[in-house]
Amino acid sequence: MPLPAFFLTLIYGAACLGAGYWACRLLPNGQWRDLATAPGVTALATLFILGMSLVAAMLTLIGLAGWLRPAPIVALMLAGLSGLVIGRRALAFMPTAFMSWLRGWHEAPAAIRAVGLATVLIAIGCGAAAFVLPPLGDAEAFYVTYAKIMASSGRLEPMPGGYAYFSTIGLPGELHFAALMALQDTHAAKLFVWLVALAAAALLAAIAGACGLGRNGRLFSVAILFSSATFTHYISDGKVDLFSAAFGLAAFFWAVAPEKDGNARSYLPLVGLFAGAATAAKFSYVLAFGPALAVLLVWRCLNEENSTAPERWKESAVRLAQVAFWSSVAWIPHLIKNAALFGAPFAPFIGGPQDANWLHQVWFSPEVTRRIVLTYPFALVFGRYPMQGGGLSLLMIAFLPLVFLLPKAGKLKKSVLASVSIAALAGTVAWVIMRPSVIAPRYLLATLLLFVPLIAKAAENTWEDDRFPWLLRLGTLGAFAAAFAAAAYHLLPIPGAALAYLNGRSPPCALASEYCAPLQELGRIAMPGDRVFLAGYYSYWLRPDLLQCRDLPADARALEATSSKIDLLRERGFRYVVIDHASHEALAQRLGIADADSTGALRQIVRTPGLSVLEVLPGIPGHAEVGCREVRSGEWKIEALRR
Amino acid sequence: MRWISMVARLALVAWMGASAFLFFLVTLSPDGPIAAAMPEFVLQLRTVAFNFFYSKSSLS
Repeated sequence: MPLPAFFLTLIYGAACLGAGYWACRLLPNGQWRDLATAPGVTALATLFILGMSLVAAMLTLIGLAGWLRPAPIVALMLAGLSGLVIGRRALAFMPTAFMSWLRGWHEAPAAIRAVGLATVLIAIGCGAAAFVLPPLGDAEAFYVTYAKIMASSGRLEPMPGGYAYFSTIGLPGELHFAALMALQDTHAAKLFVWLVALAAAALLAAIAGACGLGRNGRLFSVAILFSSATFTHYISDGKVDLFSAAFGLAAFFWAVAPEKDGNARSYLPLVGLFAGAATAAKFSYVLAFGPALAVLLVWRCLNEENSTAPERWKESAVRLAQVAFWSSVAWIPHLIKNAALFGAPFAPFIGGPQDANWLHQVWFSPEVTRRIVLTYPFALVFGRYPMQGGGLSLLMIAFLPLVFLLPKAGKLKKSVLASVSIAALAGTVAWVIMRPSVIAPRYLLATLLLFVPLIAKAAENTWEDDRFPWLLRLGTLGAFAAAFAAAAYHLLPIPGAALAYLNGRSPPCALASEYCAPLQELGRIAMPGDRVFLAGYYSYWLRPDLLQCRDLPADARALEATSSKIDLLRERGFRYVVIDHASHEALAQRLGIADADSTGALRQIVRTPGLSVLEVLPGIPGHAEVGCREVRSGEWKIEALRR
Repeated sequence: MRWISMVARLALVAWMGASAFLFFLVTLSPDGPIAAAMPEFVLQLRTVAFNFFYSKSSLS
């Protein structure tokens, strides 16, 4: 049902906003007073992201207690919404400021308004894509699937199946997904990422504003963002990378925000909380985001006047320590989660499941790695390496030479734009040194986005002075048009899909992966609590009970080791086997179904070019030693059967 | 405002146009020959630029 899902997500977002108001009132140093003087949209985005973090922390606790059910979730939302009611007078400046900002665009040149309109249309298209597209790729394997399980069971536990070890990661978005899926459906959950993306865009514009960019430059920053596939791709596919990007941009903004009342330390709690949330949400951020943030904090400190050099260094150390303290506060919910689930709060770094190879990733051979490193920054824009997940906007390269036309800055050390650009460079260089083969902008997205203000400033410069050559202005417009066309290309199927969905005529597996139809067919015939052995990666389309009753890592290891595979499947209570022939063809061969449709022990139910769904025909009655039982509504547990 | 020669203006616009064109080709066919050839192309450009500046400095 589209409309209820759409409005639920908006109300949930409003609840996060209200929760952010409560969080801000709790912070020291009069944070609320500081926020109230920030531009309206910036304050709105900050409160939303802060509240989102607080709500995720509360969902972690209620999930661990097994209360992730509609009633407690609604109670949490009401508590958040009460923040909007209680703080309505204090928050009233935001809509007024937003309308005033909107009216200001009336005076802009037609070309600039066209860029703005195109940006808005791309953003709306991304929102529609988030709403109608099913989870794809990694989201279909883990992120949305994990949320689906939690929404059904009402409990935060390690994810059943082959990704149990991966449950040690931070869960910045999965718990929000689970809450929205418990209340409504996957569409509501995925649309929430669009709200996060809009908040991230607002904060990038705020960083650009702090760097001295005007209205045009801030618009160009957002245009560059929404023409970056590494950003727009993750609005709609169901992954959670944009949560860490939003937290990271919030930390960066408050690290460079203009001081109020001469209190240079007043923003440090916000900076620390957002930095902690960003690194807990995506561990890779420690490598690039950490150095970039340190550069911003130290730069600001070292350029303060009325103190000696040793005093400034000492003050830098104090500020870094304060940020580290507040970062650790943001990590507390994650540590509690890992302590409860794995007995190892610092998993996967210390303790926890043994499979932690994913922390030390080397993606390519030394020769390919060398090529990647030597082709920076072009690799970040034009690269199409496996697992890269999209690149930055073409405008980052197209506008790069325009940087040399910028007027000379006064004192470079006083320039926020210089500090932001150097912070971006420091973070990116740190990443290239420590993870040279991992060419994936999403792993350090917030840091890479710090390059945007410089590029946007260079483009803005061509529009600042009427004497600027019209040829270059035309060139920038042409580049914008090309960037928007490339972004729109990926959104071409969306209008048709959205219309079909809104009219209720969308096929069940529209735009879904090849796993959808076979697993949905299995869902129609399997009995509640049947065990499925899934030899594949993408389990989202299984029914929630089948997801909770599916194979465990120990089952996969045992099946690999034994030669009596059918006996083992029967012993462990498996009723069905699903095989992805692209990734698990060896198992199909060992089960004897690679060439034949069925065997004496296995009956084929569904066969597609990529997948087989087989029924394990029963053997000796009472052979099964393992079963799956519903312990409470929607929550299923695998257990040994009593003989 | 800094004066920019016509040659420089044309070069900048050509750069923007070429970037956009190549990006479009790579977007339309991410697994195609142009996307595959891009890293080597950039490396060759880098070598040309390096040789140009290195030769210049060795003359001075």
